[in-house]
Amino acid sequence: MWFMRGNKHEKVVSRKVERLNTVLGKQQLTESLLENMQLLQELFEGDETMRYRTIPGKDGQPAYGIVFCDGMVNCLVVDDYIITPLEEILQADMKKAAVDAQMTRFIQTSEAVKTECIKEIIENVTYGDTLLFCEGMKQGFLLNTKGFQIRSVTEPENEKILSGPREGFTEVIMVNLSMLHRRIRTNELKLQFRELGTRTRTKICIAYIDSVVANHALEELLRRLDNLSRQELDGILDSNYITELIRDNPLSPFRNIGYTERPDVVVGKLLEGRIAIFVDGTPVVLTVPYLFIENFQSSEDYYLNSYYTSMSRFLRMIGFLLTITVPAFFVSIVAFHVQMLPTPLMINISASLENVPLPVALEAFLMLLVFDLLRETGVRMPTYVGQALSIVGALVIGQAAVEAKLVSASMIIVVGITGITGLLVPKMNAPIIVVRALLLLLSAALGLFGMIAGLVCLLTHLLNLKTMGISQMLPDNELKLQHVKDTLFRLPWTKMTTRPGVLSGNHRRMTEEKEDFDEE
Amino acid sequence: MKSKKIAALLLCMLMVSLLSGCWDYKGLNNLSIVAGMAVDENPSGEGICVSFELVDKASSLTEGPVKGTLITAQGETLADAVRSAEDRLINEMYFGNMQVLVISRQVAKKTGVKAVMEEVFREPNLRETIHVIISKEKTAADILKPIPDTPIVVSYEIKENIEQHSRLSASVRDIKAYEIYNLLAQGKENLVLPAFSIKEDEEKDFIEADGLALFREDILSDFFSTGETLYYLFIMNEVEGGIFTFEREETREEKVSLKIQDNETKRSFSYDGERLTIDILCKVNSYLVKKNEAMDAMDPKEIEKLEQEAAATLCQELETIISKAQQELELDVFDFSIMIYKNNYKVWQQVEEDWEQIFRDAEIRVSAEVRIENSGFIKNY
Repeated sequence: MWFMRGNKHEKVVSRKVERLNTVLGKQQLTESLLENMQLLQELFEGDETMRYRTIPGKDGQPAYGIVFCDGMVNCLVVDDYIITPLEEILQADMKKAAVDAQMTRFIQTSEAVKTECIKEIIENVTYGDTLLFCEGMKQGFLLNTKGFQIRSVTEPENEKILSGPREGFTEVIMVNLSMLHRRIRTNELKLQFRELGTRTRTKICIAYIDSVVANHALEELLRRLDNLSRQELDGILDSNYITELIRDNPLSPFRNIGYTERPDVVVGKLLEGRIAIFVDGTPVVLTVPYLFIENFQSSEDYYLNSYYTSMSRFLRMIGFLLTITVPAFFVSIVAFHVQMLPTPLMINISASLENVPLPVALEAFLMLLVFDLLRETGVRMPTYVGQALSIVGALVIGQAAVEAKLVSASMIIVVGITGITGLLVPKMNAPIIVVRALLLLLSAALGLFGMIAGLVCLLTHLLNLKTMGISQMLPDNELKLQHVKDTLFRLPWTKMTTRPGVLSGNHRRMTEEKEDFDEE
Repeated sequence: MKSKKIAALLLCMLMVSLLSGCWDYKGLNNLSIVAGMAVDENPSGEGICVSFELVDKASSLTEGPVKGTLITAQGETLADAVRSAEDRLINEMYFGNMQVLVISRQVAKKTGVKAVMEEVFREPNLRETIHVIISKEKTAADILKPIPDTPIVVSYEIKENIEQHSRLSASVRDIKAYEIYNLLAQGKENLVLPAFSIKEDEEKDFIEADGLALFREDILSDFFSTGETLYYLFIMNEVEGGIFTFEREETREEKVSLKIQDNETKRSFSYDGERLTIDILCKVNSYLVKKNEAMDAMDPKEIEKLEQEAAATLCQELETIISKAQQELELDVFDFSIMIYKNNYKVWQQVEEDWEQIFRDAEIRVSAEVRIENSGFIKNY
């Protein structure tokens, strides 16, 4: 009879939800303290972290009641700055009604909001505020007593750099915004809050610098966020929810909204006219518009010597090209266009393929799968186990498989190159897997012809990608020499006197007049 | 509308897969790589006997360097022989990496090079840059036979030999199949191809360029020795290096060696209606690598004297080989006919009729300029 019970249980839950909803919609606070407390106890029935306390007046009747959520509040603040003043008021023999009207003058917390909205009360009490009721008043006071534990500021694990600021965002939006404020000390920084998620009521904050922001992108973003809040999603746990809900080309594997855990990166993007979206509960901050080249840019590019970083940016681009084409190219050469191999290479490769049971294309698919399995396992493992795993993986796959003639040695090299270069561009991991597999499939069926056709399709797709309505690849619809200075290369700062044209109407980043230090 | 577009796109993609489908699949692991081919007469009568040197892939995985294996097959024609050889192999033979075509003396004398090449080049994968050589051994297959205790692919070794030595020592002529084919297509040109033979060393055999095979059109007629090869290449303006050694007038015993750095041979002709005159001028830049003991290498006069002597000796050698071709062989192996044909077609029309006679009687004047740019030095340690 378990299904009957399940049914009954469901009914109970739905009845409760119904009651909750009617309360939120219709129930009102009353002037009676006890009734109000009763109401909250009903609302939070089953949540045993809620604490209710009443403070009796001289006549022994409850005069004040406080409600807070244990663990979310700083108990010292509640004790010293709420309960103590209240006791003093009661002792001081003042006219109670007059005192209550000016309660904010007596309570010594940074924020004290008078409200009668039950919805607001619930949201804030569950977020660490303390609710204060006074006997005979229809409103309650929401007092800021937040004191929950947060993760300390650390360096983001997956955006480590050699040199430059090491601070990373945390899960608390206000702490994150404080990091932003510390870096941009101007009134032009605009921070606008919204709430998303009908159940999680997640705070998000849109940040931009008024004088340089890309206005069309900002309008587009706001329109999409409005649209999103109308959709009534019930929960937002990470910024990726927003990414997927507001992006252009929703089915494309390519990223067209940027993300970072580094405040310095966010500031850099804001200064170029981009907009940042902070989401409470996650250290990952989104930035839009996101141009295609940003996949290859790294914050470090601007902190190290420009020659060095131009080179490493170039390597990242090459890495992307290699990782999507190498297996496809190898398969098409070996299976279709043998005549393209120089003699010594051909002999070596064909000797390594001797006695291998699988056709090259299938071998490539399987080995790539094995590599991805190893990588994924390594990521999910604790560090020490991960190391052991990679050794086992390298030994088993690399040596044993070749010696057992299950896999050819040349295929191991191909998969190795593919895998390593794939790790060069972490922001592209999703498109890399998809594009690589598609190209491999095409070239296994059609040879080089298929691979080239696939690359043509890829290029067409990339040129069609948009970010907040702006083309990701060719934002200006024309190619200018100006575009190269922070894309193919990273020129020294002395040369980067203007912002990327498409993002901001305000082009000038610095004046070009400068002292010539070389002259004696 | 959209679904129609998608359907059209899918159809296009399907059509493409029909155009170049999986049946073009030619996996590397299903191919036997042919490195070289040797064409012989069939010892038992009709048809030909073809030997293929295959790259032995299996051995290369376990035993280190790649070796070649030789398989021989008979057939009415070349294609027939290929088929009967493939019967013995598991894989298809792949000619895309073939580097050397060896033709036996007998075949070169009887059927001629042209007929063989016609047949060989019908093979679609074959490249036009292969080398065609003539075997001086009993059969052509002897050249490609694996050498005991030496793990090499003989054909690739021969190819390396030709490409290196034509540049370094001018002891072999580097002529590619397409050049041969062009010559044959022009009509009555006489081929000159490198000849190879097996030399025996104290311990093992090795294959070495052994002069040049001279053809009357495409039929083998005679050979130049290795010594004559250098002077032949001088006349043909194909010398890029090598050592020129000669005796000095005063000290017969001691020889002098010059390392040729570069050479430019200019050839010109004149025809007065009866007699053809051909002028050949060699300009050689060289280093002195071995001097005779008495000579003072620091003295410009001595150097100048040496230059003159070298030029004289070179002229003498060139004249010897030319007169051998004119009188003894009666064979225009120096492509003089092409020179006249290309530079002055009218003259060619006059001499075409009895070119052999005119060539035999032609006056060929040879002159040489040798420059010694550097005498080298020995450090004092």
